[in-house]
Amino acid sequence: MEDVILKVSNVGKDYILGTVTGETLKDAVRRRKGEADKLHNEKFTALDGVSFEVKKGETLGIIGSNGAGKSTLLKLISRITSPTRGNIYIDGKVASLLEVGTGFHPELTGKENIYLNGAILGMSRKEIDSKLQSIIDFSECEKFIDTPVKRYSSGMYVKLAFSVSAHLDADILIMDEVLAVGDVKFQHKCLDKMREIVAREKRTILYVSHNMESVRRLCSRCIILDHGKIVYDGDTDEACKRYFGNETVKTDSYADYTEYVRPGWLGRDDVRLTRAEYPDRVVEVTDYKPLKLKFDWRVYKPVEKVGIRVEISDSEEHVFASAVFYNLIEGNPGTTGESVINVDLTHVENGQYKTVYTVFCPDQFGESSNIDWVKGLDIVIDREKTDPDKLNWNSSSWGNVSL
Amino acid sequence: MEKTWRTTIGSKPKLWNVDFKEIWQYKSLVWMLFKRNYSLEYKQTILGPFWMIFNVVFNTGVFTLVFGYVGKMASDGVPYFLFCLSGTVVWNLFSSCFYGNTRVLMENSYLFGKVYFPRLIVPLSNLLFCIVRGLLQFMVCAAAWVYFFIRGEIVFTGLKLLGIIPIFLLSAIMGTAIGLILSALTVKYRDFNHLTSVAMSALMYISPMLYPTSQLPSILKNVVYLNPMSSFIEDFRYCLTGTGGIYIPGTIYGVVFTIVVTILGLIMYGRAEKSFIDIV
Repeated sequence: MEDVILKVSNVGKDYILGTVTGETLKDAVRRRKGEADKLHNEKFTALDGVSFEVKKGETLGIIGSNGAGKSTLLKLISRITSPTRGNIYIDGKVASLLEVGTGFHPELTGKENIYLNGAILGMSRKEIDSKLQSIIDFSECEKFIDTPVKRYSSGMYVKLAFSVSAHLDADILIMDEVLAVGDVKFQHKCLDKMREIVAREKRTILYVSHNMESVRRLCSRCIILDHGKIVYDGDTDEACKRYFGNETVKTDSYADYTEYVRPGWLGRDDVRLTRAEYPDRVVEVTDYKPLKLKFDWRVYKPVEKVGIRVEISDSEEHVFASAVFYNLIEGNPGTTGESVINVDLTHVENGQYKTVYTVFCPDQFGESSNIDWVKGLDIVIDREKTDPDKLNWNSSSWGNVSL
Repeated sequence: MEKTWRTTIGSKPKLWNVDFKEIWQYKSLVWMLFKRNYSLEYKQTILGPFWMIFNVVFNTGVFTLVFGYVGKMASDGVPYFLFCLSGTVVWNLFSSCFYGNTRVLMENSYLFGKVYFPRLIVPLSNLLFCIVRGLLQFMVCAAAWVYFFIRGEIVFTGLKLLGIIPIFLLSAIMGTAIGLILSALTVKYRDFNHLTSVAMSALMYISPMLYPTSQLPSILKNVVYLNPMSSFIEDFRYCLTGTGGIYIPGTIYGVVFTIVVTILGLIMYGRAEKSFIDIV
């Protein structure tokens, strides 16, 4: 218990959609009276029931697609805005770098900006005095330090800004993708500096990034946020696998999708696949019989005429064939069920293929409106050649499908 | 088992959340922001702060010409230039403290949205900046006083002179506090933005900055004293030149008003700072 430095307990944050005061006088009165349900504005829940603890010296990565609530969480922890529900307990000094060069003013010189920015970030004057030379050296801007930063190139500007941040003395550092500054050389320098801070000074870091490489290098633990909720909390490698999806969650004959993180572009969540399975437990297709595939699903919003599409792609993820199955899923919220489909692979030649399962609903124009999208089980086809007169199939030149 | 945390961020805003200890820790930021304000205003100017002196002298000169020379306005036996100048110095202090802070939340939202520090730091540094500017303008007033004293047109008021210090501070604090209240209101209702300049010029004309209250019929006099700055302006003038007088009920009203708006301002600002970033 002693070494927990940050505790987030059941935190939620609502935003009001639409303009806040652009509504009518009637709305303003209703808001005062607490009749929130009659308002024109809707609420949007950016974070809901988020709880976690961070120990001293831990580097926690926070990943999630756009709009998952990462930045909101950081804003709450760094006290920029307050939560709607729940509490956050902090034991130590927090420095947040949600942006490089906060408070930099173009009219002031480099040196003046170092002092101003440092003071804004909570450094005392003495502290800055003692670190000034080191900050200037790190920024590689020694020559221009007495020039107003409005005459700086944008690269010099961010270098100087990051240098100040890198010299902060806080117990908890909060960083929102600030490492993506400067040229490649400087980026590496920044990352090295961050790692040095973590390793040597045992500081706690909360780090948000979309850059998998830097998350992997820096963080020992990761949280995945999805639609304002924590869907995963644990080991970085596992989190990267789940979030960045460079490896699917499949085992050989089944895949569990209950905790699968859906891609951010997926707009709808009416139906979710919970499991996919080869019911015959075969992993390899060796004959011309259709491949049997069983899906478990769960309905969250009333739907009808929902189908599933199995998209088959080669090892480079070029989709070359799809099998479409209509009218498999319907029902009201809460309905669960299973569908068994048979994929005809007669024309697909030998090879190992990746698949994607898309749950869709046809719209009135005959276009597919995608409801769910998960990476599927691999299909491995390895048929013995039965007819000696036939050619040996050459997939690399002729493609994967024989007509 | 239960751990004591240094900071707790809760969902319910406290009514009073001014943390003086924390503000003290950030004192260097007050100074840095002060320096920023200063250099922003006078970077790339040759005369620098002399511009504010020039402004005051020029404005007072015009007022003296129009009201004192042409309009033959009474001034309780003090040269009109000094009469007007002393009023202007106090009023300018009040109004610059006020204007400096009416938009403090909106103008600094880029800062407040990215990093945490006690939000009162910015109005404090504005206050400091305005006081320094006020002192510079007072120097002009003092120079004019010396000039008229040498010419024998006014008398030395002795210890009363010290009275200008509390009046100076009270005016600055009152301006800042009203500014804070408005900045909290403006976040949500920008109507107040449009109201301020009208209200301020109205207040200026219903204060004894340009004329002595002794000239007014008693009904109008009471209206003028409704403006909490009125008695401060007269008190300031009395302490400096010994003319006019201290209107005790008006002064008490001014002091009480200042205390009330200061408390109200701190509360409203403290509440607004918690969530305004979601609204701006």
